[in-house]
Amino acid sequence: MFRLPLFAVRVLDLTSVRAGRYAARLLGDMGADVIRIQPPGGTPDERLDCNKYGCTFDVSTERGRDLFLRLVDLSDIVIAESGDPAVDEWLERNERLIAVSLPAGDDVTSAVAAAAAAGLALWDRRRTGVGGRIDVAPPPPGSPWRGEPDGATLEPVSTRNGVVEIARPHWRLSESPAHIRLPAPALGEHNVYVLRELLGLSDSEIAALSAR
Amino acid sequence: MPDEPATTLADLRVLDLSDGIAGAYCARLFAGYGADVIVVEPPAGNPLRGHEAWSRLAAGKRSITLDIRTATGRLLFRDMVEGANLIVECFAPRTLDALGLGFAELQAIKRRIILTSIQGSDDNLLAECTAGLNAFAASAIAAHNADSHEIPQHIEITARECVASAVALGLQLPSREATFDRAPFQMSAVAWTDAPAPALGEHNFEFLCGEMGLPAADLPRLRAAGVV
Repeated sequence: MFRLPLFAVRVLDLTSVRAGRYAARLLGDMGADVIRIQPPGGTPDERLDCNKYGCTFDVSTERGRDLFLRLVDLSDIVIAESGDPAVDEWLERNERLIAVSLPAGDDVTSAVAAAAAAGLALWDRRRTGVGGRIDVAPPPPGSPWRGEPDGATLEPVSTRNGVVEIARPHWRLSESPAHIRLPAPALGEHNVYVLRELLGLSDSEIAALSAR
Repeated sequence: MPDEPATTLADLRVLDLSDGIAGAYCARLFAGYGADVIVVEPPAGNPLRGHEAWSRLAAGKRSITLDIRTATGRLLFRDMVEGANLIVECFAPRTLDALGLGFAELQAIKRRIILTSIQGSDDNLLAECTAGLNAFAASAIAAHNADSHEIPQHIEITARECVASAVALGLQLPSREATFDRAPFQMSAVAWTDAPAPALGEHNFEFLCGEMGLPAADLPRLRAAGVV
């Protein structure tokens, strides 16, 4: 089996922007347990959301907020969008938490910077025992660079020994080939895992949630 | 920022062998967050010293001169690897292997080492910066893990793949090159610091004699022999 750098690190992906979703996926590619939380509705993206568990509930409702705070207690990293007023509350509840806020947009620099920040914060936390808050800087203004035309291919994958390997990862690690452990989740595919296994909700409570 | 962070990543030591922008930028980002970055330059100086951005690319690093193409230089470098967490380089492929300093050899010296090898893009500064930032992210994640769980890694990054992957995912590429002295993110727990770039070999005595235990009398002899 591969040796994954972020084994046993739990990440909550609360973003809807592409950069945030990709930041969370980069951590998932490195072995983190990423739980993507989104309101009912919307569609998962095959490429941005693979290597994540999917859970649907609406954090803007009182019940959803309560569930999310209980997940925060069990997590190492939250990826959120800049300006989320709840960040301070999360950090108060869980001082080991690393809360990463990204500017809106779909800039690859924000996504990679967020992944870097998570790595540095994990390094720092081993010594201090405390996580903290990270704010990713918005990209400088200017017209975006479009890249080489021949680079605009879909992300191809190849299967070797039953492992789906990513052909063109951002980086290659000698001990941990970039691979897809989990396809992008169907909407709410892992509700039972998150709500029952992690949060200990009963079947009737879960049924009541889905009924709404 | 409500609280000014007081700590740095001083317990993370990076050896920067980069002779290209992508690697120098990756190491500069580590230096910005307070890691102990030692730029290892050939005695004639890093080829990037002629670049207009050198003072910003080298900001916050310590400079020593050491020719790892000499046997004595490699011996000293091997001692440095023992005290390092991460090595960043952007030589032509297999250059380190040819010097007997490939990943397998480095791992034999230090079990938990991370080696980050970047293939930049000679003619595209934006691609260099993108590769440098990717290298920084992969190195930070791997370094955390190497130290906690003793998993060494050889990280390989090419500017071309970084760009192609971003385009394939429908993400926007940067609008301009990194400014090199701008923090890509602010951390509440770790300060971003801006220190001046070092003079060539400024830290030879401090580091080689003071920290590595090289007898002070050896330094002039090594200098005369072209090793430092």
